[in-house]
Amino acid sequence: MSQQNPPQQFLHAQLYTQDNEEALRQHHLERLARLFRHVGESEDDRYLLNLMIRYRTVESS
Amino acid sequence: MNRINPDDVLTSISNLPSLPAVVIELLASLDQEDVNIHVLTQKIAQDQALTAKTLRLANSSFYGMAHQVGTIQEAIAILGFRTVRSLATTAALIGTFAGSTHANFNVTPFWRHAIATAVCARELAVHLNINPEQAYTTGLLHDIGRLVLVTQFKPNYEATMIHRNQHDCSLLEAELTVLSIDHAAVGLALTRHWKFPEAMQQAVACHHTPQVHGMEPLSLVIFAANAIAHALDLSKDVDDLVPPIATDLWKQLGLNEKTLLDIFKNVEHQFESACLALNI
Repeated sequence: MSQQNPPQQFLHAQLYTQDNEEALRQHHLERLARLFRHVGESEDDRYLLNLMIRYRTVESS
Repeated sequence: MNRINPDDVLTSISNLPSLPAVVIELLASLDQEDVNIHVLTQKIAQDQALTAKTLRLANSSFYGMAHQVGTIQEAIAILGFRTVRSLATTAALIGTFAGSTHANFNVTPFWRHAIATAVCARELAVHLNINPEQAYTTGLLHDIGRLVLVTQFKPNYEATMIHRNQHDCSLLEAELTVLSIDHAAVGLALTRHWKFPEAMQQAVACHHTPQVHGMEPLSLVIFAANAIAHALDLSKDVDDLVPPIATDLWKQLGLNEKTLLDIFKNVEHQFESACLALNI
């Protein structure tokens, strides 16, 4: 079993967290696409969708 | 062949288990300013089953009390009458439909969506200066018409769910196509039967069909809370659909984007503990 020194462990943990965050973000975007699958193209239709995309991508990071 | 006559809905509602008289009184008092708190407290305390359910909710982690309460009076002293009234009505209303099962209807996503809408409605109500507990109870019950349809018209509702799955349409569209009646109309009939305050009846009735102008504040809150709850995907229903909301209705709410984003976060934060408290 290979031994990692503390800085390497920290780096790996950080990369693992970043991968997880990216996977979670991707999952959220796919779910939004599914939940809003009947949404139209007008600004009216997309207000909540755009807000949710912002919430799931920018605000939650 | 699966159409439902409105008269049959009224008959089925009268066949439902009746709510305890004290719950009817509590519901009717939700929009009253001059409530006799002492009398209502005594009435809740006299109903042992209701007291037990209410105290279980009050002692759940959701309310974060430093120590367990053993009486309704103690719960009111700590949480306030409005909160305890909301707890008592919630416990009674969920209990009325506790045994609802159906081959094509999973009750867990139903209650998860109801709780998400209730929590969101309460958050919106705080910002719009309307009664948060009334908003919470209305949010919890906004889809109650579905439970009437599921429990009282099982074959008809099964056909509705099959239609929805085959056409990937909204539940409302499926109900109108198959049953010629929708759960919002049935919900209105039930909330009238239970003598809910008028504003709550209207909010249940129009949570899918808003009037763009001149909507009552509670109706607007429930309409928006329902859409937000769907969009936050809290029910975990894989086939869920977010209903459309016109921009004018968001403008009527008068909340900026920052506030709405904070509300989304607060709803997600409170949701799981609210489900645990209600045993969902």
